[in-house]
Order: sequence, then structure tokens, then C-alpha cells
Amino acid sequence: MFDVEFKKIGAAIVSMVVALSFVICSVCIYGTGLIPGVNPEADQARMDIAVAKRKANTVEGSFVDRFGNSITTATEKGEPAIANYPESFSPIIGYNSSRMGTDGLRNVLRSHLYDGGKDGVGATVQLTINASMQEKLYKLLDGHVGSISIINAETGEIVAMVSRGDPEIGYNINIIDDVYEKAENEDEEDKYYSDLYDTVPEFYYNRATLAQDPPGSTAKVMTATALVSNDREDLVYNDETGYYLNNTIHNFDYEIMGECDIKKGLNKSSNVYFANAGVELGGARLEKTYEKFMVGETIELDFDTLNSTFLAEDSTYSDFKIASNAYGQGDLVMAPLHVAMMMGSIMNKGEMMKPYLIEKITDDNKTVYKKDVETLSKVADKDTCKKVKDLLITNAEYYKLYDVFDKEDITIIAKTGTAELANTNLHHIYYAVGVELEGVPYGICIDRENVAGTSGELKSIAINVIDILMSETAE
Amino acid sequence: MTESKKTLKITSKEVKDFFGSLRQFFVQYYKDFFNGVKTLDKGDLSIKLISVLCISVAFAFFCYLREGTGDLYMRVFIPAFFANAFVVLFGCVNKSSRFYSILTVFLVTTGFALQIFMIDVTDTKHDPVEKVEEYITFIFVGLLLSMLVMPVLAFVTAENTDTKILRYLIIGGTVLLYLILLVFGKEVNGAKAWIEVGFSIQITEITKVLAGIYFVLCLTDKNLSEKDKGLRTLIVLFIHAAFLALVNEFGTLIMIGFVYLMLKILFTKNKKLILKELLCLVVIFAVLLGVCYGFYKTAPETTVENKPTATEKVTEEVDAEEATEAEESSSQDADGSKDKKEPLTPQKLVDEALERVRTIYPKIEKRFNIFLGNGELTKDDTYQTDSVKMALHYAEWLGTEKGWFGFVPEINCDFVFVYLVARLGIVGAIMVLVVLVLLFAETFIFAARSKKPRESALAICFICFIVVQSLLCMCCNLALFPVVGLPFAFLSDGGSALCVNLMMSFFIIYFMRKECALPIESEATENV
Repeated sequence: MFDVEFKKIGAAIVSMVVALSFVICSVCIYGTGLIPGVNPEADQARMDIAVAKRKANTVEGSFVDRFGNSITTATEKGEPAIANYPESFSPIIGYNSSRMGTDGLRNVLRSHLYDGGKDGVGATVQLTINASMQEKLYKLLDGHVGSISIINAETGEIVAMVSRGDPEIGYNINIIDDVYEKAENEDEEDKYYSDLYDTVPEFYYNRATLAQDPPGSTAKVMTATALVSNDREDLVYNDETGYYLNNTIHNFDYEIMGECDIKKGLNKSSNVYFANAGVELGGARLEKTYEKFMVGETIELDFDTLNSTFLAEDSTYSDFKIASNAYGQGDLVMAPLHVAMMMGSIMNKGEMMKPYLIEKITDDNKTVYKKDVETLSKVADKDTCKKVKDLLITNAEYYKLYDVFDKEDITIIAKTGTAELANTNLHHIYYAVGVELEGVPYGICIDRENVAGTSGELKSIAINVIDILMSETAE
Repeated sequence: MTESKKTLKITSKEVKDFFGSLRQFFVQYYKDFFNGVKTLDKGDLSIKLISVLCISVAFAFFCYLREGTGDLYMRVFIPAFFANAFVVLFGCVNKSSRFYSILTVFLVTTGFALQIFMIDVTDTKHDPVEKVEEYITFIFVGLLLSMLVMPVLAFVTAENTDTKILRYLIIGGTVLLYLILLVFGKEVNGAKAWIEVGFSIQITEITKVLAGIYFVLCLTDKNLSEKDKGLRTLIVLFIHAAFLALVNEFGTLIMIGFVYLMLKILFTKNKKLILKELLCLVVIFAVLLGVCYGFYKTAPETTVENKPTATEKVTEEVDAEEATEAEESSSQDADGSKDKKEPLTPQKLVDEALERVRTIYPKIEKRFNIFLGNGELTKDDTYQTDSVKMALHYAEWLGTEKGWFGFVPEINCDFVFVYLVARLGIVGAIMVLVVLVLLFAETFIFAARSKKPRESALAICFICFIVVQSLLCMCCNLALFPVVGLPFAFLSDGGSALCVNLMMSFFIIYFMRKECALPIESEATENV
């Protein structure tokens, strides 16, 4: 009945419908992620769904410390494991909550922890942490918001990392579901948990890795390294006013320090000296050294991501900006663990190792993961590091740390830091330490948030931390 | 002489003749139908019934394996079998030469299965049996309506029917339906496409079919010149576009536009004229969109109720039933009578219409922004697409076990394809896709060999409404097309759409009767 043209057009239309069907089919398969490796986003989502399905029929895998001591224990299928040291490990291990899913290492390792395998029990994860040391260090925080991190600078192993995100709430993963249930069922007139947990969510925070604050004068270690690397360690600045750059930068307590060299600048933590050093070096050279310390780079760790900033986005070099960054203020922000890495790299002859927390994972009696040591960066050559290390040893002497520890037993480098917070009289304070103990270098950072005092008040904690490290290493 | 040169006046004789021949058609149609029943090819019927039985049993077994229980499914598949058997019987009575009826059975059965699977997703507070009974009722009402409408469609597509009165009736009916919709319409998810008469009827499903019939009548009328055909179809297209934009039913508008283009390309001899008309169409639509934009920018916003966001909506849906009950009980006054609604005044209707015109442009813009990921989108804006993406990740090659997909809004209707992929797997989705393509191809192949061009045109129009709409629904689900709220034929929940789809399928089965096909030899000769 119809002409040839009708048939041709009809055939073309049918062909288009067939082609559209193929497109739909392909997009559908792509969207579902049924072919692994094609759509990474879908792969991840499918893994999460599979984990959620398996989780109900699996006894949660356990965490053990570097010596094999149990950190978490689970016996029931589908039930969250109980943490044996809940508060000191909570920010690292994270929750396994029926209402909020998983967080921390439990989230990162969910495919291992909740996959029953042959025995119906998830994998065993061995951490680099020393559980006994972790507990002792957590007590040193004494309810203050802050963190303490210790890394083995030779390997990158995180030996201890404690954190507290909230002064009122000690994060305890064992009771998280119970507390939220209580908060939900509270009377309107007699609220306690709901108010507490609604308004203060920061207690989840692992400050050691997530805090993004100016490191204060601890950054002077990197500026000193820049000076030495660029053969400017003989730089002297005559500080006659206690101010620099049209009175925009000043020393702590407006102290006038007179003629200042690098050693005096470090010992007395002169802002004016290091601000001038930054300007003398120039932004490009300063940034180059900071980049070697991985500042401004994103560092993917096996349990988290470390971020830091040298120059904020859309920011450009100016004398004020360079001067501020050079003494640890301005745009410069980094996490406390990064500060520990910085001190560790000076102790480790300039090699900055990638920190790691997961030593190995075993499942069904097989090792399914084993960490390899990885170098992140070479921050400076050996000679430069030796010079900076010597300077920082004089700092430790100046801080009278060698009054407590014997130079023959231990080598200590140290730098304090007090970061001023805008629009407040409070500070973030740091005590960055590097030690060499029985030939093994360690990087340590102790920080405390929102305090009225200065970094000097962390000295006693620093001494305790070194003491604990010495005794644990000896054991 | 063409109609345009004649007077537009309709004489009383013409009206009398029109209704007289319609009555004759009714009588003749049912007479032929019962004659067909008497002379049934029992072998053909048996084979097809066995096929239906196999499909039904296979689905029942599949449901048993998937869900672990069989009783509900058997209770469903017995009526499903009878409904499908009737579709097949209709095919045999009309000596339909193809497999169209079997393919339709497959779709209807898949729809049954999905709706049953979905009970746990959408109607947790409803009795599953009640829900299934509702679906079965829709099917049987659809079958009954189809049998009633078939003689009218047969009359409409008869080659000797005078289309003039029909065309006027269709335009009048269409405008009347849209006006009823604008005044008494019920708004669901932003679209005012339903009216409530004890139960909901989706008026736009009816106007969609009327638009298709009008285009067919115009384009296949030998008394009209090519220019007249172009002008009339264009005017009718704009009537639909204006009303559908006002009621915010862009999905139906897209389908009517698509069918218009398809029929134009297939049934207009002068291809240059098509290009001119298309150009004209684009210019007019651009101007109208520009007017809407201008109105949006200049007109003041009138008072409108705060509508809930997508996430709020999902939360609200959970308590919807309780809320309705509470509302009903609270709206009873001391005398036991319900509170009266605010009276409809002309001013209120005008205000509402102006507000609707004002919001046409931002609504279109927002849909495109969500589709393209442009601009500042909130979580509520992308909630639909994100949740659909997430639901797709649950899919396996052969489907998943019982799972909760209540986080996808409108999963029983606009996003049913996602549910199909998730529950019946990629294999199930491909099977449905293949069936749709076969239905489409089969209709075109038969149309090419049909003796009756008007029937062919209407069959092509209907198959587009069924297949192309379903394909577009899939595209919306897979983010290949902006979400415009198109239901999937036979699979999406909704009584009106189901009845209309059944009616359209019945017509296509009727169209495929053997006596209308040209023999292969004559076709070959004609081509030479």
C-alpha cells in the first residue's frame, strides 16, 4: 500500500529505536557497575552494598596492636566489636553504628572487617600502634582538646596517635548507639544527651590528622631549613623595635631581641627574625622548601588524608604574606601529624617517610595486606639536616630538656609553637620534638587547642611523652 | 476540491449521516467479533494460550524463587492469566497475523510482577492483597473499556469515514477536557493532570490519544491540501502545548510532539514543506519560551502555598495515610459534615493561571539544570537523580532479592525502570527492551504491508505512545534525558495509563488482522 519511501523512513525509524535500545542497555550496565573497573563510582557503591549485606552474617574483624594485643573484640554476628581501650582508640578506629554506618578505620577497611570469608569472621588488622603507650598518652591529654602523635621517622610507622575533639565528651565508640538512643528518647524538659550531642559534634574529630590550624613557631624549623639550604644561615637581623614590616609583625610579648642570628632566632623564637628571613629568601624559595616538607600537597595515608596549605587559593606573594608564613602564621595551615613528620624528617637525615597505621591484615590465616615502607620526600640534604638538627638541639638545651634527659641516652631536638587565633586571646599551642632513641629517630607533636597560655606549658607533657617512649622502647 | 475551499459549516444532514454510520459500525463490529469467535482457529488459539500459560507460570515460579512464597503470586497470576488470555483471544478472533498479543502479554505480566514486588516498597501500610486486587481491577476495567472503544476506533480509521465532524468533535472535546482539568484538576507532584470523580482519572492520557487521532485524521484526509494539513496539525499541537504547559505536564507534551513529528515525516509527501513547518515550529516555540521568560522576569509573584522539598516529601509520605485520616477526622464539624472548600472564583482561577504561566520558564530551566548539573543545585534538587543512581547499584545480572527501595521517589511510576533493573536484573531489563523493540518493529512492518493507511497511521501513533514513551522513561531513569515524568507503559502504576495502553494495544492487534495485509506477491509487483 505504501511507497518505497515510507518503507525506507520506517526502516530508519526502527533502526533508530534499536540503536537507542543499545544505548539504554549500555548505560544501564555502566550505571549498575556490573562490569568491574568500568565505573569506579559504581564499583565503590556496589562494594558498600555488598559489605552491608555481608555485615549481618559476619563476626566483625578485630584490631590488634603492634605486639598482637587485642584492641577490639567481637563475638556475635552482625554486632559491633567492643573496643578494649575505647577512648584512646575511638578517633582512629571509628564507630560501627546501626544508625550511622561506619567511620574511621572501620570504614576504610570495611571490605576486610565485614567479609566473613571461610570462617565467618572478618579479617584481623594489625596496627603499628603500641596500645599501652596509646593509653598512657591519652591520659596525658587530661580532658583538653588536642592531640599527641609519635611516628617512627625511619619507617613512617605511627607508634601512637591520641586525640580529643571536645572538652566535655570523651569519644567512646562502644556507647555511641546507646547515647544517641538516649538522646532520642529524652523528655523535652529534661534534656541532657540530646543537647550535648546535637551541639558538639566535634568529638568525632581525629585532631592529629584533620585539624587545619597554623602551626605557629614550629614552622620556623622549615624556614630555618630553607635558610640553610640556600646558604643563608649566616643571616643576621638587628631587631631594634620588636616589630617588622611597618609594625604589622611583632615578637611575642613585643620583645626587642637586638642582634639576632639563626640560633638566637630559633632559641628565642623570634617572629621578626624569621619574617625577615622569609622576605630575604623570597616567596619562591621559601615555598620550594616547604613543598619538600609536603606543605601544600595532599598526602593520601592508609587511613586518612593529610591536607595542608602554604598559600591560600587566589592568594599571591606579598612581603606580608611571605613574612607571616615564614614564622608559622598567615595562610600556612597543617595537621599536628604533619608537624611530627617534619621533626621526624630532620631526625632521619632529610628523609620524610610516609606515615602508616596498618601493619598487616590477615584473613583465613593468610596475609592479605602487608605495608611497605615508602619515602614521601627528601626535605634537604644530609648536611643541611645535620646543621638544622644541631640548631634544634640547642633549642632543646634552651628549653632545659637536657636537664631531665641524659644526652648519652637520647638525642632531642625541639621547637615550640604558639599560633594566635584571630579575634580572640586564645592560642593553639604546639610542642614539636624529635628524638633519637637506640638509633631509631622519632617525630613527636603535642598540640592543645584554644588555651590562654603559651606552648611552654606543654613542656611537662613533652617530658612525660619522651619518658613513656623511652620506657616502652626499653620494654 | 479540497475542504478549505468548501464551507466550514456542518449541515444537519452531515451530522445525521455521521451518527448513522457510527451506529452501523457498532453493530457491524460486534457482529463481526462474535462471528470471529464462532470461526476461531482453535489450533492457533491453543498455541497462544499455552504460551500465555507458560509466561504466567514462569513468572509465578520466578516470583516464588525470588520472594520465597507462592500463594500471593498464584492468587495474582490466575486473574493475570485470564486477563492475558482475553488479550490473546482478541488477537485470534481478529485473526491477527503476528505475535503482538503475546508480546503484550509479556509486558502485562511483567507489570503485574513488579507491582507485586513493589508492595513492600511503596505501600507498607496497605494490605498487599488489596493493592493487587486494585491492579487486577484496573486490568479488567481496561479490557472492558477497550472492547467499548474498539468500534469507535474502527469507525474513526475506516477509509470512507468523513473526518470533518470527527475533527471538530476531537478539538472541542480536547479543549473541554483541558478546561475541566484547569478548574477541577488535582495536582500531584507539581503536575495538574488528574481529576477526582470518586477515583482519579489522568485526563492528559485521554487528551494524548485524542491528539494522536486528530493528527492521523488530518494527515490521512485526502480532501485536505498539504498546506491545510500542516496548518491544522500545527494549531492543534499548540493548543495541547499551551494547556499542557499550564498544567505542568511536559512529559505528555513531549510525546505528543514526537508523534506529530513522526506522522509528519511518514505521511507528508512534500518533504520541503515538513522542513518549513519544522522551522516555523521551532521559531514559534522559541518565541513562546521567550514570552514565558519575560513574564517570569517581570510579573510579580502571587501567593502560592509552600511546597515541601523532595526529602521532606519522602518523610511525609510515610505518614501520609495517618495524616489523611487525621485530616478527615479533624475536618468534621459538630454536625458531622465536612468543612467546605474555599469557593472557586474567576479571579482565583485567573491568578492561578497567571502564576502557572510565570513558573513555566523556571520549571523548564530547573529541569535542564538538574539534567546538565549546571548552576547551584541543592541536595533536594538532585535527590531524585542521586537516589536513582544509588538504586541502580543494587542490580545484579539476574535481579536481586527482596530489598527496600523506598528511598527512590515515584519508584512505582516514573522511576519504575530502575526498580525493574534492580529486581529483575539486567537480563530482565533487556528482555523488556527486546519486547518493546519487537512490538515497535512488528507494527512498522505490518504498516508497510497494510491495505489501510489510516489504520496504519493510528497504529504507528499508538505504538509510539507505548514504546517510545517507555524508552524515554528509561532515558529519564538513566539520566540520558531530563526527568519529565513519563510513565512506563504497562509497568508503571496508574489505572488511567494502564487502561489507555490496553486500549491502544487492542487497536494494534485489531489493525494486524490478516485480511488487511497485502499479499507478498502484490507488494512485490507494486514496488516494481
